[in-house]
Amino acid sequence: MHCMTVEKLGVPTAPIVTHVFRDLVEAVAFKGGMAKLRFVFVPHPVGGQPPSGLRAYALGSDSLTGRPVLDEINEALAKPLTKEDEAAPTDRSVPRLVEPDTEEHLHRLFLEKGWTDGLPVVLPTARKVAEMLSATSRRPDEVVGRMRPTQTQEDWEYTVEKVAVNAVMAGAEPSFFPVILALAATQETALHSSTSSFASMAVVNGPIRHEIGMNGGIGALGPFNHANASIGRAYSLLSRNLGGGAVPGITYLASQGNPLTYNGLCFPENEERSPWEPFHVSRGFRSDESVVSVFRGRGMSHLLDVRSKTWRRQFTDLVTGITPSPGNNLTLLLDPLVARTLKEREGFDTKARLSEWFHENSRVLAEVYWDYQLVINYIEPQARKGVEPFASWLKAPGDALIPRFSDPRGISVVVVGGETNAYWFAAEFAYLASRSIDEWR
Amino acid sequence: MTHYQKGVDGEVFPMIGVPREVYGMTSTKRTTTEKKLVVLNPRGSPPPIPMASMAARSGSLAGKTVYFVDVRFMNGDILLKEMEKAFLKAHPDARTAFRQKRGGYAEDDPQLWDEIKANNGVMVMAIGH
Repeated sequence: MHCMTVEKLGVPTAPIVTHVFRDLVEAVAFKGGMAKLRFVFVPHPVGGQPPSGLRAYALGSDSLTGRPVLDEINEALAKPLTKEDEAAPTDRSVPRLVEPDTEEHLHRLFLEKGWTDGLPVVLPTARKVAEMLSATSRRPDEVVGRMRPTQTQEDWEYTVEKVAVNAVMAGAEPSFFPVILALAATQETALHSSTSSFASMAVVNGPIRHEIGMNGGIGALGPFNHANASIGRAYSLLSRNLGGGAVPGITYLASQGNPLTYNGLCFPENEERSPWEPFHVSRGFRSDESVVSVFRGRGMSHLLDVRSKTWRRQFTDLVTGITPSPGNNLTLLLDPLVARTLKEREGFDTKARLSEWFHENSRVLAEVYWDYQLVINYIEPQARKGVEPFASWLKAPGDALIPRFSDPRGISVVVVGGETNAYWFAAEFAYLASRSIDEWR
Repeated sequence: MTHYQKGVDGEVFPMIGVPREVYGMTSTKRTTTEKKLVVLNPRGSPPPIPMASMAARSGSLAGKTVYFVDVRFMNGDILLKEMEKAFLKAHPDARTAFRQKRGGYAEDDPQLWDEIKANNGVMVMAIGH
């Protein structure tokens, strides 16, 4: 991306890339109108290699052409352009309909095209899509938004009808459709193309939870409810098909992937059994509004109970494994039994006070903090630009203890579960956005 | 066309939405009597590809400064410094400079691009892991 910017300024470039990212960088260059950008490929990985190994890369051969890397760099920068280096126009229009075929062949086509999650889908016939569209007052051709797999990739645009197609494929009922449209309207992908294997989480609040029969009680995070399961799956499918994502190696780079991306943790908050205000109210919505909120993260750790003597240490130990990030990646998923204990016995009268407790008490040595690779990648650049509190923390001595989660307002608390036992999760998920569902009815 | 499979208890149930080949079963031959379905395409609309031109190359690096630019990916700085050393050894008359791009890896750095252009430079940039 930077190399294309610099080329447009009239400066020749030689982008150096490890060979496993060949498909990705060539696709990005193609989409940017510079399909012939002169990449030089070195072995993978660069990270973790000693200087002697990297010296061998520099003195060795291009992983693709077999020619010396230094010769390739010289040629990339100096060899005059030819007619073949010029961009050619490409038609990228997407037809509204798929070529008619038998049910069996269409299932095969959807699978082979990568339009599914590898599991059977409901074929989006015109009748089923029309039924889905009947659940919203919005026009089928209205643009819902734009979505991209990651910051460095391109935005794709999608309409209400396109969202309906993916909702049908996921097996959703028409009554679920406003929730799915609101998820699409967040314009946040559920299949983020980070090498770090992100998943998504969607939390539903307000009256629609009951209207469509969602489950916030026993097994809420598991596969036991049609609405929970299919809304989450629709979010994953629409991120794949409408957000230009999920082509492994090109628009999906998660090294290990994440099983939570099948339906992306979709559930309602158990507002009725919670001692605190609902999550959407803490984000500025009215309690009688229906709202969906999206989060992004990777995994969860669990704990049983709030032990009367040692809960403070157990709580901080629980989140010690979480790498700090600019997004304050902590969301507490509390069973109602745990939430009530925290309020009635330990005096946390609001969710915000619990968030502040984690911010204050979960700390990390400065020398360790600034050596996390994710901190080096994403927080240190902000610190060096003077963004607080990171700029001050960067000046702290190595033995100083600084908050693992920089902003208490970024630590989310959601009450969910059926009270069979006081188990709860510390989810390494950061809050991203909330959208009104009612606006999409 | 709906396919059927015998379950473990002898019950016959439809394999709704499952191509037989997915489970390693023999494909049914297509006949003219099979009903064809019309379905909608689930893909969104990608943007048009812009027509962009690469920078002209002069045929040699004489008089140019070769900038080695790090975007802060793991070990990218070490790799580039090794490349810079090797490049200078192979081209003793060349001028080089090492720079670390400002901000996160995806963040633009117009000041650095302007510096490179103003100094009649070319750029080697390490991207990726």
